[in-house]
Amino acid sequence: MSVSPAEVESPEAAVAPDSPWVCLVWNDPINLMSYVTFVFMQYFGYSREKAESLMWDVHSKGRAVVNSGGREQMERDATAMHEYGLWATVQKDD
Amino acid sequence: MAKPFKVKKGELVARLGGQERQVLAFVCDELTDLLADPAPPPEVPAWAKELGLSGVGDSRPTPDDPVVARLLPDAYDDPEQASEFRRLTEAGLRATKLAHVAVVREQLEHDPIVITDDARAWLAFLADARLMLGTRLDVTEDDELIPTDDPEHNLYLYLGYLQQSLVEELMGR
Repeated sequence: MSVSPAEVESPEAAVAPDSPWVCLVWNDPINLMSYVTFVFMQYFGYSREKAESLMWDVHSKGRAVVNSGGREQMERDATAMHEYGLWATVQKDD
Repeated sequence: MAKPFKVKKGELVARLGGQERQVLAFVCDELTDLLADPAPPPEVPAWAKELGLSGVGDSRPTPDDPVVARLLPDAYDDPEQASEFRRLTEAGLRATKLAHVAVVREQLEHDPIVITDDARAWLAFLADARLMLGTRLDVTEDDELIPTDDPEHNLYLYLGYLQQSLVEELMGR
C-alpha cells in the first residue's frame, strides 16, 4: 500500500479452529490503506478496528488471512476482492 | 480545492470539471479495451441463459500482459488450480469489471453526477484505473507522491486523490 506506516503491533487474524480453507489478501504498492480498510469493512462487515488491524497486517507482513471457512466461500471472497482490485488467493489452512 | 466527492442532501455527488470528465472517460476506454475477453465462453442455448447459466470454456493461463494479470490475478499459488479457477470465473470477473466501467463511463455524461447507488462501481473503477497505471509505472511503496513531468504519473496521483476522497465521504468522516 502506498502510505508508509508507523511501526505497530497488530494482532494475528483469528481463524476458526475447524476451518480448513482461508482467503489471503496480499500487499501491493498501489491500493491506498484507507481503501483496503474500507473494502474489509464493506465486504466482510468487519468493524473499523478489525478492518484496520487486518490492513496493517497486510501492509507490514505482506499478507493477512481475511476470512476462513469452506472452500467455495473462500473462492467467492477472493473473487470479490479481485472485483475491488485487491489481490487475494485461496489456500488450505496449514 | 473543493472535494471531488460530497454527500449533499443525502445524495453522493461527484463534482468533476469538463477536463476531469474527459480524462476519466479516456481511462474508462483504456480499461474497457484491457478487460475485453479474448476468449469469451461458448454460447449457451436461450433456456440456459434464462436460468443464468453460462458456458465456461477452456482452461486459461495467467494473462501475459502484467497489467491484465494484475487486474485479474491468480486466485491460487498452484498454476494448475489457478488456471482451473480462471476457467470457471475469469469471464465473470471481466464482465463485472466492465460493467463497473460502463456505469462510470455513462455517468460522466451527467450533470450533476449523482452516484449514491453506484458508489461500488466508482470504487472498483478507481481501484482498477490505479492498478492499470500503477502497474505500468511500476510504482513502489517508497515512491514520493508528488507531481512530476510524467502525465501518466500525475494521472495516477489524481486517481488516488479521487479514491481517497470517495472513501472518506463513504466512511462519513
